[in-house]
Amino acid sequence: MQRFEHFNASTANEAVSILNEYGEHAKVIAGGTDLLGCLRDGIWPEPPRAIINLKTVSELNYIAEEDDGVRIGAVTTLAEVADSALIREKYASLGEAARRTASPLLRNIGTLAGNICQENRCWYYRYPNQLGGRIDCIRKGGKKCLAVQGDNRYHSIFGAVNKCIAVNPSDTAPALVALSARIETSQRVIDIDAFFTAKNGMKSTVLEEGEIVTAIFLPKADPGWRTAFKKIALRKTIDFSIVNCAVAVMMRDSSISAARICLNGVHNNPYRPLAAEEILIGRSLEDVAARAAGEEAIAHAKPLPMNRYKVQMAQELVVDTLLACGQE
Amino acid sequence: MSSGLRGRQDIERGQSVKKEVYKLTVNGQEYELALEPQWTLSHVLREKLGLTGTKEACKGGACGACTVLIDGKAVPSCMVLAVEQVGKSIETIEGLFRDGMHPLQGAWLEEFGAQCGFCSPGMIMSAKALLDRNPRPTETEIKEALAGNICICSNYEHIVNAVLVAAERIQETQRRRDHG
Amino acid sequence: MQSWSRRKGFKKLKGDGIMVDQLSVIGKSVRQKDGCPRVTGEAKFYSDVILPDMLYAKILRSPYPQADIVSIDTTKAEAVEGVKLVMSYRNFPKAFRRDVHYAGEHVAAVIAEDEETGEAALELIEIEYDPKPFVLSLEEAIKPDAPQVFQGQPNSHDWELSYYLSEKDPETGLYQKKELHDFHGFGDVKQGLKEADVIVEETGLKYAYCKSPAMNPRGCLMSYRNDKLTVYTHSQGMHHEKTVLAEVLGLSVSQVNYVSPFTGSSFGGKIAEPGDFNHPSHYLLIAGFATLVLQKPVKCAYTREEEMLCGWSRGSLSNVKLGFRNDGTLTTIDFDHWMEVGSGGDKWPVKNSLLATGTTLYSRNCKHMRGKIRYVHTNRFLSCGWQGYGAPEGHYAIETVMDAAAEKLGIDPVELRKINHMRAGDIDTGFDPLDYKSCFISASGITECLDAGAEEIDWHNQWKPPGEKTGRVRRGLGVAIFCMGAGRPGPGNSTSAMVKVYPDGTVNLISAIADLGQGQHTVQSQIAAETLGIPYRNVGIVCHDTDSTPWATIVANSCGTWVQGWATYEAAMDARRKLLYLAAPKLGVEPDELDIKDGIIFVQSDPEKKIDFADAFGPLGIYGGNHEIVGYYYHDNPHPRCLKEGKQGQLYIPKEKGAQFVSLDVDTRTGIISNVKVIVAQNVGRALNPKIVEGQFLNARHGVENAALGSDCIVDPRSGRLLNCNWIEYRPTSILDCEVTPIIIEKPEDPTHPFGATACGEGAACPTLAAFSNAIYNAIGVRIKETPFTPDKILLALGKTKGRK
Repeated sequence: MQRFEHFNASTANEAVSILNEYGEHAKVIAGGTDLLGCLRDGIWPEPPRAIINLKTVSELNYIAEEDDGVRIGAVTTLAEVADSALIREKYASLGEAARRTASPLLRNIGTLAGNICQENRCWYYRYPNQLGGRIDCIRKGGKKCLAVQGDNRYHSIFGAVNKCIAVNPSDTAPALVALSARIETSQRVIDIDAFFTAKNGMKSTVLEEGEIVTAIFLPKADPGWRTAFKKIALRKTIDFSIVNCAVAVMMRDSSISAARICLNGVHNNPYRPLAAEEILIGRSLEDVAARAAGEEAIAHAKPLPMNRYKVQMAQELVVDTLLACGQE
Repeated sequence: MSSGLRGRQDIERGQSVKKEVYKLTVNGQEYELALEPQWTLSHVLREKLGLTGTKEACKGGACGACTVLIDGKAVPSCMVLAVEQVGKSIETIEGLFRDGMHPLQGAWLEEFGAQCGFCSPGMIMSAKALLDRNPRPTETEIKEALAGNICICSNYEHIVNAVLVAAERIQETQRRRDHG
Repeated sequence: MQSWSRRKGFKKLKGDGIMVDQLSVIGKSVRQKDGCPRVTGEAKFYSDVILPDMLYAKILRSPYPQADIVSIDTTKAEAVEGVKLVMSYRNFPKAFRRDVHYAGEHVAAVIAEDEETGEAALELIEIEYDPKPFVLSLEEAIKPDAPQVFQGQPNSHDWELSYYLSEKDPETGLYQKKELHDFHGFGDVKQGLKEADVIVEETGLKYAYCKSPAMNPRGCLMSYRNDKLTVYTHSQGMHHEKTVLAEVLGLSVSQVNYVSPFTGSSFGGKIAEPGDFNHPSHYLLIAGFATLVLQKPVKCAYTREEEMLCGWSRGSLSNVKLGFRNDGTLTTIDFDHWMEVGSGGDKWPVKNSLLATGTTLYSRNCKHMRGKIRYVHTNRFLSCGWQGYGAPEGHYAIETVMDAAAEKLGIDPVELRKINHMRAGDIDTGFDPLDYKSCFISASGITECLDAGAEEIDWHNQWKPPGEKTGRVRRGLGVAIFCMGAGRPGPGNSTSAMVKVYPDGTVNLISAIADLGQGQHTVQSQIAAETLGIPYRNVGIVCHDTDSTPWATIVANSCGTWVQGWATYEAAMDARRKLLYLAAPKLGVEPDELDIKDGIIFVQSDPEKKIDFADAFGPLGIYGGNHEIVGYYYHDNPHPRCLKEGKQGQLYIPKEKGAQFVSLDVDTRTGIISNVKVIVAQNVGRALNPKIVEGQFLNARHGVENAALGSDCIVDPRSGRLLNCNWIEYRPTSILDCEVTPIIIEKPEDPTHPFGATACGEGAACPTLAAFSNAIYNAIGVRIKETPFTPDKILLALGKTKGRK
């Protein structure tokens, strides 16, 4: 791994101030499970010169219930989220998503904020420098996305964002989207729907240089909300999802009054199929409606030669996740 | 004709190596070590403290061979920086051998829990973290706790047996202590 | 606590002066002889050895899959502080080539004081490449207009040692004539197919290019002091590697000491031939030359990514045609097989693909056999044999088509195997014997394995044809059998062992046979203890390096227990004879009237007349006396017991053999496979150590990995780079992914081993893929012919998605 300077921040402000000092040459480290992998493989032409530790900022590690919802500090680990009785009770889909992420070892150090800010896993983007030289794809300032004409079996089924067809790999992100979370940063509060990079495929989130996530806020859920999370992967542990799905439906008198569906592993950003959500309104939560939503969810899919199967998977997963809500 | 890799600038960064002294507590003993920031905990344990029981098989957090306990939690030591472990209690496989073998190690020998043995230290530490918080795990709970530890020799059935035997032994010892 | 393994005992065999009914160590699950260091963390694998002033090697790898190196300038790298040496073809032509043949091939190395400096210096090496056309898949490489991987050579090579066998001796059944031919076989396949009642054919059975399992990435640490080069590494055969390395480095053999007490699993994939570019063992040359030049220890350890890249792969393509009589008798096999060897690799495994055919597994009824085998070069990383050494690929093809045949014939798949599999005494015309034209198979027991596995999985009640399956999630059952080579019984497989007996009744077994986790050190210690009549705990093992041990064969081809077993047994018998010769006069009898039990030597007809070892040795003093008895044996195959009635031309050849059943669920909407259960039943003759044998059976998981978890070395089609070069994208099986139930069958009919044990090691990898494929077919009624059986293929097979253009 390339050498760097290391700082332990004691407050969020201190972390931001060091970040600003180094500009684009610094990164924060929370769990480090994504960052250290990127550093070790030397995937960036310009690796960071400074790493700022957020784990020493004690004010960022908590799960606090408040009147209007639950706030989770940025360096709260995935294990803490998965094991939290509060989260399991009130935001079950998030607890499940956290529990299904990675492995028990990685969950003990990986953080919730880190999980939604992580780099993508595109094997061109992450090709290790030591095996013949890193691949400078479009995300690194190169000329093109190599997956388009390469092996794209795990890539986007909903087209490119600024030519990049990598997918967002997070398991917790779609759960947070379905739960209408808000991301609190050192500068502002961002609705989860706007947090992931909608227009610019060069980064995973809209965070500016010098801006860090400080907390994730989950609005208080009406008792009528039901949530579920499902993941498809080849192994039952460690693997990133091929496709995952989180759903939240609001039931009023046995019919759906609101729905939020989020698929991930299918696009550059977590994907909300709005038409599929709309088609559920007023219907009861059962097979016919779920199937209709599933079909609608992939209606605008633009699969690549190698990932057509993902369209089928995504469709089925929407159906399964919706029906799982009905079983709560 | 085309050229290969681009040349790399700022070798100077590599030449002015900064090491500061940190205190790490490993297996109950305090060490003062001059550390570089990018060194992982597994690297420091192995190469600076000579505690090579902790293995490195993938250095990517994907296999658990490097598992140690930090404040009682099982973590992949190849994915944490050593400089960030000040003030924490680090436990490695070497720490289990006090007053003889830990019940997990004895059970591992009886149940043939180690084939090549490369995953064993990490697997045993994960199992220890499990038994410390859940003294009577079911088979399912054992598998879920060890889900981050890969055994290429595929010895999982023996490993599960070993954990079950160890749990029984620890409970038995506890019962004797409580009654005697 | 649940005990999930079962042993089905049969008749007991009487051995060579040792009454098997009275075995006290053999057959017991004693603890690993070297188990303590493995569980305490004290075991030193090569990567754990840290020497003062140690330097680190970092390797520069090619970005191109095929290129010539036009120029290389290492000046800037050499100037970096902390860099001690920069290596390339210019100064070390034995370690580096001037032409590269796969993306990631090593082109230079930096030896530096620490890894960070080495990595930084690598980036300052300036190389000019002349890239050339390349070919990245087996199918493309066999086309006539494909770019040549090696200039002037076609990519596809017919296997050079195919033989046509003829003139079967009417009495013995052994073939008398063996002639070089362009295919391997016997009889007349055209005639056989003409006469067959039912013909079943499948083409394009593809075994994806997958990777050998290794927990500890390969590498070494070398140190040159006092005219001695010490090599710390993992080795499957220390002595041979040492000899080859010495020659390549320009040292004498006595100057090299190989140290390899622990190997972090290799499954056959870490065989090293230093200096041979067909083997991924260049870490030995990089560290070796650097150590000699710099006179400091040099560690060259692969990262996981380098291990994924350079460690051996394997993959193949097959076409199979089988001819049957209506009653299910398999009379004719026509087998076309291409094995990918990448840009190097070992061509020998391709012969083992024939083990699944009429040469061996189905030799009983097969009258006509044509095995046309080839190995094919591509611009990919090296491929070779490991865990099956070519046999898994052949079994996948044949056992899949046998399943299709069962359906066409209307015969239960288990019954079809029973009708046709080889029995003890049937003929083997494979390549293992080399000097022999054909041999007798020494043992089988496959029927018993099928019965045991079928009972475990409740086959006869649960198996239903795919047409009767309904619902979203469908369960499938599949079966496959196998037989695998076990050592090379003809001349050329030799080994030795030494046993030192001490007056206090303890013994040191001195043996270089490698323990990769498969339990060799334990099992050989058991053999020594049993033969000498002493407790297992009284046996120590000296095994760490080549200086202190006599020559031992490589552990490959599952021959350790068998070949080394003879050496250990005979060495122990040698020591035993000497001991009894010393004891006899003290008891006033002849040596052959004595026996040993629990470390006490006694007269068989009057057991109260006894002495211990110390008394037998007699008085000791500083100047003399018998301080130790040394037994030694050099074993060169075949052992006399391997010859039928002692006749030279009639060799018994042991095989590893058995059956596997797979049960799985297929979600027909997502293509996901779950609830995978594998039953592994093998006849091992005698389980010398049941828990170790079970451990070997559990390796069927590797087959599950190859089958279901996406085990395929995925290269980018335009650059040849290995895209899934880590353990997240290439998925080793976790504890949650499947269940394996081992069933040990002991059918003591095998005369070729001192205690009736035959091999078990690689077999578990052989039939799993076929059983898996057959289970999928049983679940959904579509046969997927390309591994791995990932959801995309299943959904395509079910018509849920459209294919690629």
